[in-house]
Amino acid sequence: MENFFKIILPQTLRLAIPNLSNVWQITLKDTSLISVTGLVEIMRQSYIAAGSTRDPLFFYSFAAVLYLLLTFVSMKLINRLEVKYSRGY
Amino acid sequence: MNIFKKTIFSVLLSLLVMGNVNADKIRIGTEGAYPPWNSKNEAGKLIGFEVELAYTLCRYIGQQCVIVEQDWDGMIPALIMRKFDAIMAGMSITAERQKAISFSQGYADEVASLAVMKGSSLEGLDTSAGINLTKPNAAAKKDLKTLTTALAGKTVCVQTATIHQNFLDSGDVGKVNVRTYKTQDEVNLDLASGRCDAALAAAVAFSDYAEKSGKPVVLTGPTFSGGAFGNGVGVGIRKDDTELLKKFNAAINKARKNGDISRIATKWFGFDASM
Amino acid sequence: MDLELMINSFPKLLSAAVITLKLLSVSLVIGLFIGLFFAILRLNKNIFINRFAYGYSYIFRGTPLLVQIFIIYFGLGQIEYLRSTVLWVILKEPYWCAIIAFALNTGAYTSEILRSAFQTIKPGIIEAGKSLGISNKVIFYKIQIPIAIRQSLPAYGNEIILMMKGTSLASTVTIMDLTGVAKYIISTTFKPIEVFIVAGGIYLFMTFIIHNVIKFLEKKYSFN
Repeated sequence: MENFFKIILPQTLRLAIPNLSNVWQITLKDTSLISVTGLVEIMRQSYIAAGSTRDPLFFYSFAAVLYLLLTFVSMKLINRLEVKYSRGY
Repeated sequence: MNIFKKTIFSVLLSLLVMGNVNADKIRIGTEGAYPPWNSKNEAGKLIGFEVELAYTLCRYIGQQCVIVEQDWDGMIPALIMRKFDAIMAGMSITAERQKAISFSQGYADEVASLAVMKGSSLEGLDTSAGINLTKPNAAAKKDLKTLTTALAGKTVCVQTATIHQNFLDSGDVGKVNVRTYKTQDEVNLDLASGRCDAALAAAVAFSDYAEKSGKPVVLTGPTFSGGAFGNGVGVGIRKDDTELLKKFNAAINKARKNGDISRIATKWFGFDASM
Repeated sequence: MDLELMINSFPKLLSAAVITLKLLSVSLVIGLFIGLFFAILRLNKNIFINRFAYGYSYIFRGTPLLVQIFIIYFGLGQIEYLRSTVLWVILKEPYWCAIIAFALNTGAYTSEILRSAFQTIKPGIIEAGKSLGISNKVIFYKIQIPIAIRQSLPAYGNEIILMMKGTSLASTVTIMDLTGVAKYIISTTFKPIEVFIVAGGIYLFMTFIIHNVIKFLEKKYSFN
């Protein structure tokens, strides 16, 4: 057990993080598709707001900015992780 | 049992318990995007004629209700898959839908109408005030002919899976370019932007939109009822759920007798749409 | 399971798949040009041009395609001024709005794919061209671009498949593509599972074809 967490996992993570980061970015944007099935997330909230206020331009642009912010912040965090796990290489 | 297994077990258990909380409540599905029938206010709360009526009916049934939001295009499949037990979403009783689900007696009726932007060539069509399509009389047939000529090659927008779409697809007004949208809000947006030459929906949906948006949307042509437009709006219930159907029919009878339906309808529509 | 419905809806869905392929091919062609253009801008040393190209790719890769198509269709349609300009002729049509959104989106990804392909070209190859007295222009068009295209084929094949699935969002702006027609059939039969299984099968088949075409091209243009 300790072997796995202290030796194997850190080495795997170093190699896996860039790819995981890619998957994360793609999935983050695909969450917008959940709005189609009715779960309330950013896109659905914007959809409802755009409907009831009749101002789609504002609310969809706002959603776009939120997604950009999310990708930006998660990118920064992942970069940090990458640096952390490639220490010593 | 180690801690990992314990956590998973307790999560599963709580999910089961959560699923059972609503067991004795009647779950009613509504769209929340078809004012004044059902919509959402600025705080995101479900409001409208049917939301208020639903709670009233449940009081008569003597059971608690939860209102569940569901997109219109998945309404009937969601009922069949037991996401909720009843539909109250401005859904007209039609023969086509009755193949899939049962309906209670009608509780309200609406007429459908075409709408255009002020100044459109389709404004002020020479037709009668309203036609019934169940057994169209001579005047109705003449109106359909007038509409066929007027709408030829035009783009008419409707919400998907509605009686309005069915009517345009039926060919009663010839070959029109039908464009379907997920919500009535989107139909209204594209009518205002000019992407649609005309739109077809409940007349009240357009007057509600014109009032709230201040856009010059005007009704044109006759109002439609009967035929493809069905026989009033009722509660949609699964076919095997005959007991719930009986409960709703009894509750509607009581609510009608006590004047509740008329009162709530007048409050939301501005006129008595009850039946 | 309603087998009869599945069989009956198959031809309707198949003819709708033609619309899907049309949307895909038109936006891929436009997107390829956009991608190539921005990839070249990214190689530019001027910081403003470089940042501009990076900004474009960042925005379109950082936001969901669904948001982009909604902004272009419902958002832009709301601006009254725009409706009085000549642009409205294009933006009025759902089909072109979808194409614009798809092309800009795939263009952003393509520009990244091509940029990294350009950057992996070994400097020695370009130097070899120069020492033979070949002009910069010819080196770019006859050496750099063909190598870059070969380098980016696997990643671009992936992008084509992602984009093919992305075209299903065209149905959210009233286009009757494969997903649009599937939804339409469901709206009259109330049987989503059967119809989506058939539609999904057709998408899977298209993926299979695209995948194999790319594999064939990869082999054909491989260096060995």
